[in-house]
Amino acid sequence: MNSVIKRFIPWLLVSGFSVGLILTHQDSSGALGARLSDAVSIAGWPAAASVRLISLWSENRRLRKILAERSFETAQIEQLLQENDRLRRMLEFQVKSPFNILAAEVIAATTDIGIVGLIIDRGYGQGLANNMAVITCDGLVGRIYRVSEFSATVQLLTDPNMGVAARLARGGEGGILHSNATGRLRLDGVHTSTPPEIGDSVLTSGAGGIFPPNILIGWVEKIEPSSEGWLFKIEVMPSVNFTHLEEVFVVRKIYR
Amino acid sequence: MINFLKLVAAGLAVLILQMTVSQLLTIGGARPDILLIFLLAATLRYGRRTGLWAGFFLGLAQDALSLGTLGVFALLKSNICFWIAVWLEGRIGTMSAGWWMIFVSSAALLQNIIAGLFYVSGMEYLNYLLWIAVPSALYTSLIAFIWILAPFKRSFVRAVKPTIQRSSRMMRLPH
Repeated sequence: MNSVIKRFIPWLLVSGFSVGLILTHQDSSGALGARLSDAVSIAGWPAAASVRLISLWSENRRLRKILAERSFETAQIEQLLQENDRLRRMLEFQVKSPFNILAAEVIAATTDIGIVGLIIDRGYGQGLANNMAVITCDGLVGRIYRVSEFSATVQLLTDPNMGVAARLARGGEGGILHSNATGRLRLDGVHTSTPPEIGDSVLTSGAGGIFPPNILIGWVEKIEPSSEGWLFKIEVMPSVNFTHLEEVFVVRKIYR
Repeated sequence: MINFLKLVAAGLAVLILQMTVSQLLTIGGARPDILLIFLLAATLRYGRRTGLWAGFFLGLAQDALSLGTLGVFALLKSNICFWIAVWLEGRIGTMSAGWWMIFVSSAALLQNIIAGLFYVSGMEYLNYLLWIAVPSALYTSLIAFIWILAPFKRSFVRAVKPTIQRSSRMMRLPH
């Protein structure tokens, strides 16, 4: 053991003295320290990069989770805002409407009884009866087809068996509006002295006594002159989006 | 002691030679370290302790003459000589010219790599390694080959020339 120590004592002396000289004679800017720091940085780069990579990976995972949560919350807020807007419009409509109307919630869509319809959560317990008009803020939806105590079936305007007495807002001539098999609304045999134009409003005429007059049905989308020349076939774009009906109003009485 | 002083004196002569004619020997960025060859040969001939002290004093002289950080070459040269001698002790008795060149180039490369850390920083260090450190090590090994073929006459110089055994390309290692 002693011989081993003796062998290395000169080396320790020389090395220690040399290191001491280097430390005392390095330039005043501390460049040696900076260079050694560079060397350590270069040598430790893979380890530092690995640590940073793992850190970024875990941070990325955490942020993804937060993003998913926030997306879900945003979607919920969006839905609530839309619902709030819709309900606000309905409330405003209910106050301003000249009709005695009752709000109802759509609980299902149905084709079970041979019609294209909806089921709402109001029945004769709330004063509903057959053939009452069903509307929204946007326009005509249909009529009450069948009533039970706490629910009712609404026959939609897009049902091919449905017919509505309608007229053009400009000109005033009218006809019977019905839906074809594809759900598109047509107003046939309109006799008019004033030629209709694309975008003209189509309203209920009130003839027939089921629907109150002047409720918006839609707008003229396409006009085809018939062979006679003085009759028109009019295609109507409905004002109500029948695929997104959640709340409707039932017109219980035409006047308050 | 006298022999050691002679060795140091010879080393100083080699160092002065290196410092004065190094401009002529420089090819590109490559410059041979004749002093290192001298010290390695002395270490192989006289052993680790002589190599350690000779490396220290001559390295210190090189530091002083090169106006660099004092102690860098003293540390490097003394350590290279010492650890090479320790590593070779009891291993083999002779070394071929090829191994001698590999030996010198490895020592020169190690010295240049570490010395570069004291004088070059950042990306310049990579350029230094590619264009100066490696070519200089190879150049030094080439000069080392010429060294063992040189017909030295003076006794103190002959003492540090690796002893040729069996053939002209074999030399004796320290006992």
